Amino acid sequence: MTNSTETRTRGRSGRARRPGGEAAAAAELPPDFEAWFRDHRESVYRYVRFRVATREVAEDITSEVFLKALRALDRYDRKRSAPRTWLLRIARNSVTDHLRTLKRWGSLHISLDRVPDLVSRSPSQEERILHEEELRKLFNAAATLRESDQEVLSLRYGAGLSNVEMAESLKVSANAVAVRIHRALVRLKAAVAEQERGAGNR
Amino acid sequence: MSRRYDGPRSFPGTHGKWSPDLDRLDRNLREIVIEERTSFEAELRAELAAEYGRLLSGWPARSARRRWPRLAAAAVVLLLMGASLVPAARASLVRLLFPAPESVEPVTVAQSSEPRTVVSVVRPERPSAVPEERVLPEMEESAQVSAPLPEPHRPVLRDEPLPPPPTLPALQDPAQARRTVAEEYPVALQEAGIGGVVRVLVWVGPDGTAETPRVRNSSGVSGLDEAAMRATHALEFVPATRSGRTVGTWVEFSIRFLPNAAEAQPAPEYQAFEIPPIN
Repeated sequence: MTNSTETRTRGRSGRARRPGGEAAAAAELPPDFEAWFRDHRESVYRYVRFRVATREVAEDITSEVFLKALRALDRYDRKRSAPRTWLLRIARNSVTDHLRTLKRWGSLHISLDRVPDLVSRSPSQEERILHEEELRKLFNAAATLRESDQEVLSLRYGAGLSNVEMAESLKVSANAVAVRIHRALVRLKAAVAEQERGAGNR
Repeated sequence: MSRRYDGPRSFPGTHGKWSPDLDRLDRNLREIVIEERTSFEAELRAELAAEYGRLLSGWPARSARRRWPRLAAAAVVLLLMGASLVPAARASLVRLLFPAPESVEPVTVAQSSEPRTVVSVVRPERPSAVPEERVLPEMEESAQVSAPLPEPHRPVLRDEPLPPPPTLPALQDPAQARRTVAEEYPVALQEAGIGGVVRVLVWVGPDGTAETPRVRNSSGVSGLDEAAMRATHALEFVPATRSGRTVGTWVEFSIRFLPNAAEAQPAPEYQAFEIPPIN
């Protein structure tokens, strides 16, 4: 999708180069970047939103990801990774930094009881409410998983990457990705059951 | 108002290979819809465009501006490390950092005939642990007075004038100290003829205040120990000095409670902490 625009701004090395100042107006983005922003913003935002507790934080981190990408545009090497993989790698690092900061300040345990921007698409109101309750449990349980499990679930269900794309992003084989997803789901199921047991005891 | 993300369109897959429970979980996760603020895309785009404009104009980005202090700090550290390799530069650096060098030899001062109030000085640094864990040299009460222990090795610059000798803490007003202790002696114990000696350890701060007094050796009478603690806390000292500056130090001394004033012996000045009779 971005090939036609990418070729206009690449040197022989295959690296993207920043267009000249005289050619670009301040209000415009580089053509490559414009296409990336259009095509991959949703993936990045969904991925980040799956990993953090609130919409506001997800917006901040998504902004940070694209700002970092813009500043590092001339270092992007298309031979090494696809644009979406590159952006998601930046997102992953930004989320990790964010979580580390929270941990340092002792505020990692943010309540996920209210997730108003994560909703179900069930048709009827009743089903939607039930489904959203399930969703709430799911997110609370997912927050207790280890980081690597959260990572694969976010890449799959947030960013919507295929196993092959996840393999490229995580630098493992596609089979290994399938195994990791399966294990993460098993652990998520156990975490949900654990939460339900805890709620039942109360 | 919000924009809805209905999730990825396709999930390649493993469907059919998983248990029904996992399939259901997978389906639930796939059906998650994320609602984004509608204005977020436009706001972010504007922010990116503004940043790109700054990049084109050559103005360093915020992150680059934030790097300058770190680079400056790194340069200073490298400079100091480099300077430490050159002996002449190292000497200048030491002179700069430690303007008043001290002798590394511990100073021992024999008790003179001049009255002294301090019996022993235990150590110059305030300890972080409880005092019982420290090794405290036991000293004769009327014998010698040791200066605070020397600090870790510092180079001595021979061509510099010698710093003033260290001084030890002393009571600001020995007479007042006696009165303070006398006031704290519980009347009931006096009348019952109960007396005793309490060995006290106290930190004398750089401002001369007595802090965290502790009983080193109990009198065996809790009332006397408590009285000694109260009295010690109220004492005021002239702080110890090193290189002309006041420093905190630990002081150890005895407080003697004698119920019968007639039995009291006038204490020599150097034993001023051993409070004689109560009147």
